[in-house]
Amino acid sequence: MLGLKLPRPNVPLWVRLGVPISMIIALAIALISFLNHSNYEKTYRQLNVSRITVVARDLRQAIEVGLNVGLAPTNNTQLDKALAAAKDHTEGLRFAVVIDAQGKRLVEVGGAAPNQGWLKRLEGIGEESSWLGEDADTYQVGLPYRNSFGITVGAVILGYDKAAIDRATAGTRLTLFANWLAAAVLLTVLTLLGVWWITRPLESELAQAEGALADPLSGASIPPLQLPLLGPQIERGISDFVRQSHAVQAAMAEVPKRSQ
Amino acid sequence: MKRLPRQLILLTAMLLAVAAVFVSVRGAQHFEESLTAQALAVERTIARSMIDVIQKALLHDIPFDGLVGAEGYLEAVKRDNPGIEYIVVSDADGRVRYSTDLGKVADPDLLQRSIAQLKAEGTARVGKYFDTSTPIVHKGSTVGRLHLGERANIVEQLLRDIAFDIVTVLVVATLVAFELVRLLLAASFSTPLRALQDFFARIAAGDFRLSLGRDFFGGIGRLNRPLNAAVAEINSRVRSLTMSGRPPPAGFAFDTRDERETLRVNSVENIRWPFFLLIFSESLSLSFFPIFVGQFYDPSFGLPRHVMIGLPIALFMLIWAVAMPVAGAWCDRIGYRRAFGTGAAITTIGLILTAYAGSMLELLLWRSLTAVGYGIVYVTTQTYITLNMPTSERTRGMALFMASFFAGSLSGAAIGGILVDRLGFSMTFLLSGVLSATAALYVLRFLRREDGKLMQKRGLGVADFKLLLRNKQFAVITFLSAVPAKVALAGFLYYSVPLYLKGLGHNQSITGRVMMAYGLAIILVGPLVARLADRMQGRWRFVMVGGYIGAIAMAIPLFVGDTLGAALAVVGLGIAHAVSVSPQFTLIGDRCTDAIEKVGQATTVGIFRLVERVGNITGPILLGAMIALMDFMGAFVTLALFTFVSTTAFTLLLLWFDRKPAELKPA
Repeated sequence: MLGLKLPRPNVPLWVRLGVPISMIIALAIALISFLNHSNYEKTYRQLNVSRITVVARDLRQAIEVGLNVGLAPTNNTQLDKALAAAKDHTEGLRFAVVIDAQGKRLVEVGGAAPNQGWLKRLEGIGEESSWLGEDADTYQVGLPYRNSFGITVGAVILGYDKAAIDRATAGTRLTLFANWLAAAVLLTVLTLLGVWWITRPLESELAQAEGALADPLSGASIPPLQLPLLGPQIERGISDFVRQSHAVQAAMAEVPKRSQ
Repeated sequence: MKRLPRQLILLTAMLLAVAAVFVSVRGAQHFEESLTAQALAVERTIARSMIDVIQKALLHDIPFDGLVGAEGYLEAVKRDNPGIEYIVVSDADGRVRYSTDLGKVADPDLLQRSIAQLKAEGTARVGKYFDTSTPIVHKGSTVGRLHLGERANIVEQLLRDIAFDIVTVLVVATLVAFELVRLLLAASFSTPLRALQDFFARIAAGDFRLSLGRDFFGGIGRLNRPLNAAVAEINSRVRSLTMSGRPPPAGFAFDTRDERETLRVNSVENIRWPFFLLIFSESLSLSFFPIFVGQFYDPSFGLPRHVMIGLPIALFMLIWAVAMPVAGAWCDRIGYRRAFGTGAAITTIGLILTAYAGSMLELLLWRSLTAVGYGIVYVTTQTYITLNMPTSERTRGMALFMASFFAGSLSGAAIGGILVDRLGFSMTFLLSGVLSATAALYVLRFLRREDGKLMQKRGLGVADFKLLLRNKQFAVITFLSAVPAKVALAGFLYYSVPLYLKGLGHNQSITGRVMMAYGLAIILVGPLVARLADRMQGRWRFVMVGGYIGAIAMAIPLFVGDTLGAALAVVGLGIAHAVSVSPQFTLIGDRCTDAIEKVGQATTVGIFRLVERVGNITGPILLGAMIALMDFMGAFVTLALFTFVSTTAFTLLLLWFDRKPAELKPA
């Protein structure tokens, strides 16, 4: 009678389960690292915004002092110097611009891109004392300034280089990646060990069941199975399967005799 | 067989916790160094700004000892910079000349002694503070020093500010990881085990026609290969037999036409994962959607900005609700596999088109399309769970549905908010579309076709509504339990709590975190309670207990004030709904069998979900009116009383129905 022999799959259960579980844990901690980095970057950015807000307040004060004595920003000779000094002394500051209530640039140092939506921000500021914005290259802080009657007549806008933040946070990104890699490698080893330990009994039962099903058409009877994890239904099912296969074979062998 | 997956889940949980703590602690150590340096840079900038002012005064020949109003100026600077704990101006000998109020500083004596000794420029640790000392130079000589103090635990404070974010991150990562592990374990153990059991039952009856599905996971499905090979060999020999003109052996069934049909079993896990994925994908836009809509604001519509922003959200909710009964009737006709696939495909198209929306009208159209798909998927999933869970485990099935919904929703909202910062609106919507398409493909690939089980019925009709609503038990469960639960959800949680917390001075992120507790309670408590409800007889008791817990929860702010009271109420409402909402539909299945058979399972789900949305609509209106008439506390107590009364009426009527079984039949 023709037998049916199949090679056993060579990847054990603990690897098949352990590898995806390790990958899931690695994915989860990558997600944690990614989200933590986002929080870190946000905090870092806020600290930088706080820093340039201090500088912006000084500039606003310089403008308002000038306005109080009748000096418009364009005529305030100290303002150019103050803006230049602010840019020179503030690390990462890309530009400082003073605009009027119509959005026209009055005094400017550094390279601010054209077509910024500052006028819209100034008009919509309401009771707020500042606004935060950004363009492709900079994070921006805008502070409106008022004349001696308390009317908002313009704003001072400082742009902080995004690339400077990227450079500063790149080190942290690398550290977090190294931490993630170390954790992922260690956890993969631990997961594989743990899964191997937990699945040993099942592996042994599956090997037993595979042994019983290795050649079910050979006609040989199978040894009694002990499959407490797979359960009595499977235990009985395998025996029934082998028995039914034999019965089919026997019935097929009977068929030609009957037709002759 | 349940022990092994549990052990693996425990192992995963332990390793995930260790890994999460490791990367978070190591990350925090690095953050400390980097953020402290940044925080001190802010101090140095403030110091430079102040010294400029002091030096200008000195240049005007104002003596260093006679700076009038100096302390007021220092206080103003401290007020503008909340991170600063003290500002001190000392003379060249280190004696304090001007300072902010040092009364609140920990150990002012130590501070004064240290200032006397700190001569060098830079930052030094003074007790609990980092002291940044900067010389005040006038005409080439140092006349004094400016000291700015910031708490030394800067990062601890910053981390405390983002502690909830970190917890959110951990929760989200855990939810996503466990959904994936569950899928893996189901694919490795429970699903192939059920398939094997079905297969062996057929073989025992002599049926050799079906083979088992191909296994990719190497778990129990490993046995499929030798079994399939044996069945294929037997069928091949039988075909050879029949081709030679002899009959196949009697008493057996074989695949004589070489059709190679595969036996597929339906397990709840098969739909749980794609459902989670779809809810996750749709929820990616939750956190930024109002900002996204704001881009399309057009004053020519003649509507205020906040109304325009709310319009796509309201329309989405409306279409979602209306789509459900129609989708249910459709699902009964074409089957949940095709219905889910179509729903997910429509959602995908809606999300992708949303990414390219160029005007408010386009946005409204694409969001409506997304809502139709979403509604189909929502109803189909519930129907699938109801039909594929044994009757004795249906409450657990419904709890799993709710847990998946909230897990997907919470994770999606949290991750979407961060993704949009990096990817932008359009790319995030496109990513949502890709994930939603993955859900559709998964279902089409892995869900069994339900040929022969479909209902031959026309589309949804008024008669379906009439038949269900005239059923007394359906009406009692829907109007006295489901609708009040939705009134509480929409009126209390979604409408009143944000307003109440805003009134307490909290921002949106605090509100979001408090409200997140509701979803977490559902995810954590729901499946546990549902298991208990399935084991015990009388699921209606869980609906009753949940109703009373909800009533007590909403009254909590009356006894516990401030944020804690609101948070406890939200958690309490989450627990209440975890206990009562899952058994609601199971209870309908238990008590309204005749009506469901006539109307159809999915149609019943759709109508039930549509009717309960009466609560979603009326909740905010009722609470808004009550808050206007009374105050928050009055409104909360009234809602708690309303829930108490409706739960009591529900209980009494069900007891009455059980005493008069003759009246249980639908009218």
